[in-house]
Amino acid sequence: MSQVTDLFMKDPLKMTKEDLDAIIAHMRERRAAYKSNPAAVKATKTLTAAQKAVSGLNIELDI
Amino acid sequence: MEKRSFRDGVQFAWDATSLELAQTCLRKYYYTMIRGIQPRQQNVHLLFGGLYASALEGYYKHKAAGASHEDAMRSVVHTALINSWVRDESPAGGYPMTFDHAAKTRPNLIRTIVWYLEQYGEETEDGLTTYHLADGTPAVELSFNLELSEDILYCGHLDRVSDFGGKLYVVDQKTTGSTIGPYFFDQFNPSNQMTGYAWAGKVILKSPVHGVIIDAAQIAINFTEFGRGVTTRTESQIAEWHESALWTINLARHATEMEKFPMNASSCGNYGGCPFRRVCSRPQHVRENFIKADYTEHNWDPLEAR
Repeated sequence: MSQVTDLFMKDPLKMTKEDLDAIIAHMRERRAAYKSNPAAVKATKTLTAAQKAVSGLNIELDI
Repeated sequence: MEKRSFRDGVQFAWDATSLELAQTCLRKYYYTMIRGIQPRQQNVHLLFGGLYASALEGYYKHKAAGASHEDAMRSVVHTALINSWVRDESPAGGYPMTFDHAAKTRPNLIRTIVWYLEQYGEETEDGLTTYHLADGTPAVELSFNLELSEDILYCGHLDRVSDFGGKLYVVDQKTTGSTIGPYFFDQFNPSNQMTGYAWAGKVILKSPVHGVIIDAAQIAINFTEFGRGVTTRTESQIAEWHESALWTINLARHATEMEKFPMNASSCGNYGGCPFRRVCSRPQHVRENFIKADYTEHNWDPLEAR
């Protein structure tokens, strides 16, 4: 898991100023990436929960 | 216990939500305002939109109190994270709220708050500046209860009032999954909420309010896009809304006294379907069972200030 994903799982009452600044910095980076190339971000496919679950199964079919 | 906005079982304090319900369908009005029920599953759009609007209001309050952009942003991001956390007794202290929506998620809520404040947070001379009341307080989070007529109150909440080009506008936040364009803004005229804001703003500020600026955010999975549209109201449009609102309110009050709440079956499919469709579509004698199973108490009361 990335640092920011970990932070979103952390009890907000236990968050430090540094934790909050890290989340904000991450969102700013994503905004900069979007502003520099909106089409690329819009085209990025994000897996749905079901797709993620299936991709995580790592099944090998022996047909 | 009777809601504060009711007297002898009849509603006397109204807001845009209850007015909209009464105009849409008297049965929907009955279930929501009189029975006080709502589907057990919380409406993701209301939840997300409420957390977002509350964060932006908080930001402008912090700024008006002298906080820097960075400090105000950090504070409202922290509050939004707290408000979207389900607290329990587990060692982790709880878990993140799940929104059950592909785009309206907790990380995307924080993304939208940060991106909005990066784009619009710092006020510029040629942009929107928060209007200050005569006593110097910023015109944000203004709850109002005003006399619509001798025995009817109209209540609401203005997120923010801004000065734009020397004219006053109420600013209202909206989130959507759709692209923001003319079609999106068309839905706000006519609109009970927006005309009610223009009417109330004028009464509260004792100065003409030119209209409402819709501050829209399109929430997509990987990005948030913003757009602003203005919806204006003339004196005659406000007067017409006032007359129509009173007509609807009197009709709903009469229906309440008569205990008759007819369905408006032509509105059941609007906006993705009425939340009470599951009840109304069942035979009368089994409806209570469905209400017990699928609905929960709902305490919406126009007189409860946010």
